[in-house]
Formats: sequence, C-alpha cells, structure tokens
Amino acid sequence: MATLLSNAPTQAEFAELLARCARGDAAALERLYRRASPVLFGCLIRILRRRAVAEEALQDAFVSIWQRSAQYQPELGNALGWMVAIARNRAIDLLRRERNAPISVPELPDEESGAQGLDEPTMLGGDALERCLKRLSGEQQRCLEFAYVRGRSHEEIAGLIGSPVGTVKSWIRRGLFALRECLDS
Amino acid sequence: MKPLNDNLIDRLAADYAVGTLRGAARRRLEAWRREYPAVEQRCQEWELRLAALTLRARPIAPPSGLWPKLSERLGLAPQAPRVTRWVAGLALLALLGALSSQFLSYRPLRPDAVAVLASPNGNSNWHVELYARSGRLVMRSNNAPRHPSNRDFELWALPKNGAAPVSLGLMPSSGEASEQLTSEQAAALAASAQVAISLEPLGGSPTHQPTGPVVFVAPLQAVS
Repeated sequence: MATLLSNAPTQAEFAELLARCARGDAAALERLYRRASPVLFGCLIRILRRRAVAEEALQDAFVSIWQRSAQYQPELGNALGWMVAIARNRAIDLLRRERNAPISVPELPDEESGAQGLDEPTMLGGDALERCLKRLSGEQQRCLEFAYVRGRSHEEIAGLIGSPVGTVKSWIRRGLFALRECLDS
Repeated sequence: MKPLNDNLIDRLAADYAVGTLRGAARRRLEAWRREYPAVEQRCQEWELRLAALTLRARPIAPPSGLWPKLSERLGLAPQAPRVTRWVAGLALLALLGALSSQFLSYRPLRPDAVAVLASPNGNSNWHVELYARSGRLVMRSNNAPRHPSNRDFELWALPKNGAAPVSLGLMPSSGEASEQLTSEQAAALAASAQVAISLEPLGGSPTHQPTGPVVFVAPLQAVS
C-alpha cells in the first residue's frame, strides 16, 4: 500500500484510467478498482463501521465512478481525491439509512493512531495537509478527524468528547478555514 | 432559490466536504451543486483539499468476491455484455416498428442507459438518457455552450460496426427535451456504444449525415 500512496506517477495513471473508463473501457475500470479500492474501502469502513454496508458503498462508488468518469477533469490533477469524494458522499448517504442499525465493528484498531497512514509522502498532498493540521489546536484536529475520517455528526462528536455542539461546530469550521489558509499560503 | 452568497456557499461546501452537513441541508446543497457551477466548484475544491485526510484511515483490501459482483452489476462480465439488457429492449422496439402513442407519456424513474457529453473544461455538458422500454430519449442541457444563432447541435448514434451515424435529433439549447425514437433510430442505438454531437445548420444536417465539426463524443453507458 505504501507503494500506491507514495508512487508519484500513480495519480497520472488514475487519470488515464478514468479517461479510458469514459470511453467505455471495462479493463480500465478493473485496473482502477484493483489499484484504488483499498484506499476507498479503508475510508468507507471507518465511516460506516459495518463491513457489509462498506462493501455495498464501495460497489455503489465504483458504479458512480464508471458512470461519471467523463466528468473528471484531468486538470484537477487529484484523480484519487475525486474518487475518494464520490465514495465518501455515498457513505454519508448510507449513514442516514443505517443510523439506527446495530454497529458490528464499533471501532477499528488503527482508528485511534491517527497518523498511521500518513508517514509516507503522498500524492493526495498529505505532507502539506499534515504540516497544516499540526498548526491547529488539539481540539480542532480531533474534531476534524472524527468528522472526516469517522463520519461522525456534530452531535455525535459533541457526545464523544463531552463538549457542547456549538463549540464542536465552531472548532470544525475554524479548523477548516485555518487549514485552507495554511494550504493556500 | 438563486442568489447564493459566496460566503454562505463556502461555509456550506466546507461542511459538506468534511461530512457534517447532513439530511435535508446536504441534499439541498447537492441539488445546488448540480445546478450552479460556482457551487460545484466550491464543493470540489473543499473535497480535493481534504482528500488527504483519508490517509488517516489505513487502506484495507476489499474481499476478493466484490469485483465479480460489481462487474456483474455493471454488466461488464464477459458472458454478459453490459449493453445486453437495454439493447434487447431496443431490438424488440425496432422489430415492432413505429410505437403506438399510448407509450408516449411513459417515463420510468431511471433510464436504461446514459451518456454525458461534457466540454473539456467541464463548464457545460449535456445528458442523454435512454428509456429503452418506452423508446424515449431525454436530452438535457446544463449550461450548454453558445453557438452561432444560425446553427444547431445535432445528436448522433455511432454504430459499432462502422456504419454511418444515425441522427437522433437536435439538442435543446437549454433545459430538457425528449423525443420518441423511430424504429430506425432504436436499431441504430442498439448497435452503438457511443453517441456524438456535431454543429449543424439550423434545423439539422440537410444530408442526414454529420456535416459540421463533431464537438463531443461520449460512451453510452448502461445504468444498473
């Protein structure tokens, strides 16, 4: 996996595969699936916390990737990020449906050690993001991670860290805007 | 609902991308996203900016049985070409010849196949949706590119066997248009994996073949 994340030409390869998908090339989709699905599945399982639902979401995500491949604009560069966004949005839709279902995988072991996936240079711009994250307050970092990585709502995060919802909202929002300022500078 | 203020869009897009915008508010922003390029751009900026946070979750290989399921769902499995289902529907229509008018108003919720023809900068696109059972084609312009007032954009089916393109009608300059396919058009679509749009004289090509430049080509993709 380290290879996938640190290999600079990979994003270009993903972009090329998406372009081939847009032309209806099924072999390109299969290769894209082989290369990108572990990152997407890792992200989905953290948010959805149930394997069966994460598997469903992964399938749905690749159906969308296939159908929307013509909409990906190569000049955006971040082909994996584009796919991550599709997968995450599907997961958040499914969260609504699954809200009352029992959770079978309450926490995954590596969830707590946040930086685990980030110790290599990454094509998603992980270095810059990590540097900028470190400038945020501990609360801001923690809330962002609960929200983005684990797909928790404002209310759930408030419950998890024992702070008022309004405070959580403001930590997240200020954290996001500080991140952008740092990344853009 | 239109005059969206930039700061508001920016805040909503940030909440959306981080995942805390939920429920009706999330669905509303998604609708705006489809409708307004400025909203789409903001959302996409935030999504791509935050994507690296994904790496905080270690990658996990999905079970090996998932790809065959996915490939079957998309109709990509070798035994079942992905166009089979709607091609069968269209072939039947072609056999039946012209359609009776009772089908004219029938439009199921989901199309059987879609094509998205987008400009290279992504600022404008057309959606073409095929409803095979009713033999209808729905064409939707999203911020369609401007063209000289004495020209029209015409849609074509491109048969896989290299046969001549078959006209599927003129694209609306804005909004949505739908039309009933003739048996000839249905047969041509059933034999095509791609559609194209060319720039033609007002009212469409006089020769029934593309005469102007082909401005967009896109695959026709089955919807599962």
